[in-house]
Amino acid sequence: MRSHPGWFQWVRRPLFVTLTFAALLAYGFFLLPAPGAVSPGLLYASLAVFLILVLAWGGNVLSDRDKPEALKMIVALGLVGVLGWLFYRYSGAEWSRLSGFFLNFKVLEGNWWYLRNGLGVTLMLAAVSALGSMMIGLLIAVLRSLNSRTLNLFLKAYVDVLRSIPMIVLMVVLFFALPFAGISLGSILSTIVALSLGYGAYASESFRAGIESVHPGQIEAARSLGLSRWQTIRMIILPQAIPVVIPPLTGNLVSMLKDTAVAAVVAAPELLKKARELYTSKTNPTALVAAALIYLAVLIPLVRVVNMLEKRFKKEAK
Amino acid sequence: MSETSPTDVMIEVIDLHKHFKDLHVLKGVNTKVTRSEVVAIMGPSGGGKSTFLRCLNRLEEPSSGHILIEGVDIMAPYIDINKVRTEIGMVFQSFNLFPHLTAIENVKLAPMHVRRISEREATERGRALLDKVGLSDKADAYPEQLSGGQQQRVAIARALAMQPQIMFFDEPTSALDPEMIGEVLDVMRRMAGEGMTMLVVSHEMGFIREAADRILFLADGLIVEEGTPEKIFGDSQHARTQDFLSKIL
Repeated sequence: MRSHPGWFQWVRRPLFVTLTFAALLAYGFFLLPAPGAVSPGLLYASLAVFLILVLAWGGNVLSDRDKPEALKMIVALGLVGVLGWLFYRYSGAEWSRLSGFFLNFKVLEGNWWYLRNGLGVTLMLAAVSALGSMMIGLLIAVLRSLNSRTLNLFLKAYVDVLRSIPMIVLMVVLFFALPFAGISLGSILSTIVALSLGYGAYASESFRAGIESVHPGQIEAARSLGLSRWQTIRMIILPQAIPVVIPPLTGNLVSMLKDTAVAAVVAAPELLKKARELYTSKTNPTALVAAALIYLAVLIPLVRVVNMLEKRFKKEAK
Repeated sequence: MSETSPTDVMIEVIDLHKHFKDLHVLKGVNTKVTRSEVVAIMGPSGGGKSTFLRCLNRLEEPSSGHILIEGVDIMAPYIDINKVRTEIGMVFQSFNLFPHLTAIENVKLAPMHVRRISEREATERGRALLDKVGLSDKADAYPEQLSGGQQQRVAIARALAMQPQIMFFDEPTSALDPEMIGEVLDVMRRMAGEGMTMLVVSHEMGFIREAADRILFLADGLIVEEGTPEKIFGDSQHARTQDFLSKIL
C-alpha cells in the first residue's frame, strides 16, 4: 500500500467530501452570475474558479481507490452533466435555431432512400477495395519474403510512396490527371484503384510483420523435408502468419471504410456525396448530421469487432 | 572401418569451406560416410559442427567444395536440391514441429505433397511411425500439447515418413529436460540398429559410446581427429580433443 502525505488522508474522508460538495452546490446556485449580468471579466473569472473547483472535487473522488464504483459512476455522470449545463448556459448559442437547422429531420422525409443508396455505394467501395488491397498487400509481402535485393528496393519504394501520399491526393490524381494520359477510370473505379493501391501498401506491411513472426526454424524444417519454397510459403508460413495479421488488417479496413468519404471529391455517389447533394437541394445541413450518424452506426460495431479480434488472437498466441 | 566397396559410400565431402562474411567457419572438411554407418560429430561450440551438418543438405549454402550423396555431386548447378533433401531426414535441436498441424498431420504433410502418395497411405504410414516412436495415442495432439521429448519423437517420425536414406540429427537432445533425453535416444538407438545411416551432432557420451561407429572431432572448422569411440574417448592423440573431453566428462 502506498502511503500518502497526511493531508491526503482527511481530504478523502466522507465528511470532507460531503461538505465540499455542499459548498460547490452553493457556489453553483448563488455565486455563478447569470450570463450578461456582470462584466465579462468577472464572469469568466468566476466560471474559471468554479470549473477548477468542480474538476478538483471530481478528481478527488474518482482517483480514490477505496470509494465504491457506483459512487464514481454517479460523480462522473454528474461532471459530464455540469460541463454540458455550463456550455448550454454560457456559450451564447441560439439553441432553438441550431436544432431547427441541424436536426430538422423532417426535411429528410421521403429522402432516406437517397442516403441508403449512398451507404450501399460506400459499403461496396469498401468491400471491393478491401479485397483489392489485401491481394496487393499479400503479393508484395510474399515477394518481399523472397529476399531479392533489387526486387525489395522497388517494392519498398512503392510501399513508402503510397503510404506517404494523402488519399485525397491519390484520388484526385487518378480521377483528374490520368484522363490526360488517355486513361479514364471514372469516379467509382478510380476510387477503388486509389483505395486498393494505398491500403495495399499498408496491408503489405501487416502481412510482412506476420510472415516475419514465423520462426525461421519452421522454414528450415519444411525445406529439409523437401518442400519447395512456394509450398513452404503456402503450407507452413501463411497458415501461421494469417492469424497474426487479422487484427491489424481489420483495423486497416476500418480506416479504409472512413476514407471512402474522400471519394466525394471525385464525385463517386457514396454516402457523403449523397448527403451533400441533399444539403444543397434542401438548403439544410441535417442530411450531413444524418450521414455522420450513419457512419457512426456502421463504424462503432466494426471498431468493437477489431478490439475483440485483437483480444482473441492475443490469447491464442499465448 | 573395414573394406568398403565404392557403392557403399553414402556421403563424400571434399574440401568443404563455409564463410559467413569475414568468418571462416569451415576450412576444408574432408570425410566419407558409408551405408549404415553412425557418425557422431563432437567438438567445442563455434567449431562448425552444426554448420557442417547444415551444409550437407544445403540448408546452409557452402562457399566451396563438393558434397557427393550416393555419388551425385549436390553442388552441381543442375541439381534439384528439393529432391536431394527428400533422401536426407533432419532433426533439429528445437524440434521445429509445425504448430498449426497435429502430430499426424506433421508426419504426413511431406509424403503427401512431396512424394505425392495418397492421403490414406500417408496416414497409414504416419500412424505406423508414430507407433514406432511410442506416440500412437498422440496422433491428434497439437505440438503445444506435447512434452519436449514427445515433440522430438514426432519430429523424428516426420523425418522418417519420407523414407530417407540418411538421417541428420543436430543436437537432438540439447533442448530437452534431462528426464526426456532417454526416450529420444532410445528411438535413435533403435534406428541405428536397423541400419540407418546417421550423422549426429551430440555430446551424449553414453549414446555415442554405444551406437556410434565413428567420431568426428571438429574444432576451428577442421576435423582435428577421427576414430572409433574407444579410440577417441580412451586414447585421443590430440591436445585439442583431450582438452575438450576432459571438460565434458
